[in-house]
Amino acid sequence: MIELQHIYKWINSGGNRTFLLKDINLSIAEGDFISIMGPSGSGKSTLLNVMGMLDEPSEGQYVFMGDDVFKMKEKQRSNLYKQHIGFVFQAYHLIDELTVYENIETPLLYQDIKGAERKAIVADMLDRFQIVGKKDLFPAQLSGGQQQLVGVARALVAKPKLLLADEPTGNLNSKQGEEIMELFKKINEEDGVTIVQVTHSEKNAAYGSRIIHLLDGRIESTQ
Amino acid sequence: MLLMYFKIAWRNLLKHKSFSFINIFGLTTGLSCFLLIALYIFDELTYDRFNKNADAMYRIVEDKTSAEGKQSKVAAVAYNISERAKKDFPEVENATRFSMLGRSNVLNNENTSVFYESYFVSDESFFRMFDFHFLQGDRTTALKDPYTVVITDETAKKIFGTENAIGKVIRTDRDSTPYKITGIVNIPANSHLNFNLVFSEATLFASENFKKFMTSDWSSNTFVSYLQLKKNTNASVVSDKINQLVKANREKKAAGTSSLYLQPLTAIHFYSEGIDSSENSGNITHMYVFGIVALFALLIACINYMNLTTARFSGRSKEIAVRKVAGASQRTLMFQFLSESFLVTIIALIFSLALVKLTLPWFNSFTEKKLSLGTDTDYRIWMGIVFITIFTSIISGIYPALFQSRLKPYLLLKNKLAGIKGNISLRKVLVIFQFAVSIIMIISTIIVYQQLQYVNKKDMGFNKEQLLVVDINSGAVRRSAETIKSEFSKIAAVKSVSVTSRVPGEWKVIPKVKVKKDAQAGSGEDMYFMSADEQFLKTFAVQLQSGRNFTNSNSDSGAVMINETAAKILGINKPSEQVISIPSIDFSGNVSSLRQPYVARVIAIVKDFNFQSLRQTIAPMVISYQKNPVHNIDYFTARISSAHTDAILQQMKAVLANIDPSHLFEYNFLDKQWEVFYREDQKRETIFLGVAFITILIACMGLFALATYAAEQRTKEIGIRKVLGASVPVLVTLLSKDFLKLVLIADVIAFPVALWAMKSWLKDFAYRVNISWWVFVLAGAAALIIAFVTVSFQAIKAAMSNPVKSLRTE
Repeated sequence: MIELQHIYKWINSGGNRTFLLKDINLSIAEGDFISIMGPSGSGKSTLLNVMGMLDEPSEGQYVFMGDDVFKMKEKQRSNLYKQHIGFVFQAYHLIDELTVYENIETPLLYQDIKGAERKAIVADMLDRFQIVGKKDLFPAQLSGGQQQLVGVARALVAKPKLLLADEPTGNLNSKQGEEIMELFKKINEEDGVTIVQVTHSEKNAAYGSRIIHLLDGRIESTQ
Repeated sequence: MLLMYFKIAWRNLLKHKSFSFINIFGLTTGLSCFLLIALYIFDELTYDRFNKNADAMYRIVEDKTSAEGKQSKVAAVAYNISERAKKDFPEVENATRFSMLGRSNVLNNENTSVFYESYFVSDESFFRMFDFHFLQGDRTTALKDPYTVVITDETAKKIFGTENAIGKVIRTDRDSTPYKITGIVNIPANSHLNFNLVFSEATLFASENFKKFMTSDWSSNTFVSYLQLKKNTNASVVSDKINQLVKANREKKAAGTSSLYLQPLTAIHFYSEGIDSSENSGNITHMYVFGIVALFALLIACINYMNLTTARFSGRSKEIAVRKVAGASQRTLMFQFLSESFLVTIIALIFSLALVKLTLPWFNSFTEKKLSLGTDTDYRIWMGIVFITIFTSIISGIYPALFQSRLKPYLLLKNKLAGIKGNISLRKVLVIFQFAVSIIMIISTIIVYQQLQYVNKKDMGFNKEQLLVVDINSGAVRRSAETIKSEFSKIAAVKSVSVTSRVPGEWKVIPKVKVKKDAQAGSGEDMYFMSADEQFLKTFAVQLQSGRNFTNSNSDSGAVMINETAAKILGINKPSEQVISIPSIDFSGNVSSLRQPYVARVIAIVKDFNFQSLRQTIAPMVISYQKNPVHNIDYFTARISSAHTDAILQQMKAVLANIDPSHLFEYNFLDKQWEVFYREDQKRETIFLGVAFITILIACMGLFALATYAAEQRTKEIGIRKVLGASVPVLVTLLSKDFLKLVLIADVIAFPVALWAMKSWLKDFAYRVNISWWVFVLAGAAALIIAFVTVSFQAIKAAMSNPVKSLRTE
């Protein structure tokens, strides 16, 4: 599904080239559950952003579902990404001015899905995540765990093939974190959603089928 | 989707109340200012446009040059010109005349009051060419018959009250036959033609004298004439033909030259300067200035919206990023921000429509217009409002939309907003611009105020306060002037009474005469002329320089006083019965020779006094004793000592009614008349004050936005500085300094512009104040203080904030 070859990313500061990513070669098959680990500054988030097409590498090739991503036009790429990728953030990043319902609905709006259908999909999602009773609340009225639940629901509402999660449990206590991880596992197994998560926790990483260790922008080991 | 945008925009508005308030308030101010001025300009630009054929209609103007080389333009020509043009030239579709032949008392049987009205005369084509709205009557035949009259709805109400006026009769004191009312019309406020009653021209033909005069008239300037040309006719072709026609028929006796041309009807309002018998003409320069002011106010309000929106941007970066991650394209985001600015503009529009509605009565009384905003407003105005709303929301929304939708989402999520620093320079330029305009406005307001104060307080060589001027409106009153004078003097509050032909500060024309000394050759010197009695000096408090006052005796007929300026021109140092002769008199371009020259003796020189507006220097003047063949007395002027003017007026009215019961009592307070001279300037002062206030207000909002933005940008810097030990005053200075620099630059730009503008305005005045340096210092300092207060609010807030908070974000 994902084929990364010789991915480099660097920034130039004062004549020195600082590498964020160095020769990353990685292939991810559909249905994989990958955990990326590594110390701060090792390039975990950058790699995730590259995979999520939010950021571009300085060099290298990225094939996503058979398409060479960096040879595509901006528009095609954003279509590809709109349809197939969902994002979960450490800080949840819900829109404060929107209710739970509206937050989950947002990705569907950008995919031109009709009102009635949208309603059905969001209702289904609320049901599945057992947050029907919270649908009219604003993010500020929810606990962190609940907010992340909404965040995951939002990421999944458009039925993506790939879920990218940047430290999804980083701001949660261990019990809430466990719930989210169980949820990820379920999604991966039942719906066949490919998941790539960045995490600091060994315990959470163990949910994945494969763990990639990064150090100074390089893949140090895979287990 | 759109609903969703509006929903989130609405929630944003509610969440950030102070920002929303400033945004909406700014746009409301800008829009209201724009709408008011646009209504005004629209009204001015559509002058006479209510006539369906306005584009094909012309007024005939005669351009004359006298034998002495004096040029004058008159918008009135001889009878036969329009009459024959209509008959002889195929290009002319129709022609009409509309002329004022003096004034007349108008009375009727149902009503005892008498109205003194202009006696307008027109022919039956008049209402076919001009589309005045006929409330009653038939426009094609209304003025066909002799002794018919068409009146306005207001006049009908005045004379007949609620009764139906059509078919009723009125009388005038010109002739004994009553006039039948054949039509009631409504005159739009923006018509250059204005009348209360218009009588049929056919009436004139009933008089043999008039008939003879009109049918042979090729040279008078009596009839204001209009032509309607056929479609696609070149006006200059017709005017050439008219000139030839006149040449062929006019007797060659008058010296000097004359030519006729056609002035388009739609040009009359703005381009009639220098044409006699043109009233209330508009000023196209004012239209440009007002137009620029209106656009400027709106644009600055839009810019403030941009400033505020982008300043608040960092608070929304997360939302934008999340939307992008969720799949929003740049276009959909732009659309979202534009719909937000549209919502804000709509809200501002609703407020400003209400505000305009509220302020219109005041605006109307100030501009002397009848503007309205409602269902009866021209559809083009509503279309304009729709257009300007869309325009405003796009102008104010486009920059934030472009700017905010372009950024990369992962940068936004990390709060790395380095990319937007560069934009501050554009805003700085805008702030400088705003403040420069504000400072110019402050300076202008102060100087206009000073000049008007000066004009009011200046010693004019006579005392204009407490003078009551009563018109002489009938021969009976004029003949009994001496009796009336002594009756008036008996009123307790009246100190002295004088009779004169004109008064200083005259609202009618003060005639000019030619004055020759010792039968010198040539045509003589131009001087103003006034008749007066022996009470003149005392009543007006005019000082005698040398010589003696008139005495109330017949021996003084033929005695004149001259002012110092006249004495200098005539070379008279001491009055000693020098003989001067006055061969002709000139009422605004109409020169007429006296039957025999008025020969007079100079008995006194009076000190110069201002008898015209202070725009003019004091001109030479001859004040003749009242018994002279040049100009009859026209006014009683009483110097009064009490504030109970009502009682005085009642007593005076009674005295006049005793002499002539039908006499129309008209009076003026002279100081009020002097104010009329400066009414336009007073308006200008109000406009300057208003614009100064609005620009300052808007500029301060812009500055506030910029300060907020800067404070937000520098939160981290401030936090670090605070941790390192910077005190609050040091931080406030740090944050305010940059902005005060902008105001100082604005000062530098504004001063020369204001100086130049005010110098050219003051140039119109022969008597004017000096522009003093402290005005500039005051205006500059005021702008600086206002700016400082605005900025320091944000600066202090930022400096007082807890550094731990601002440093924790990362």
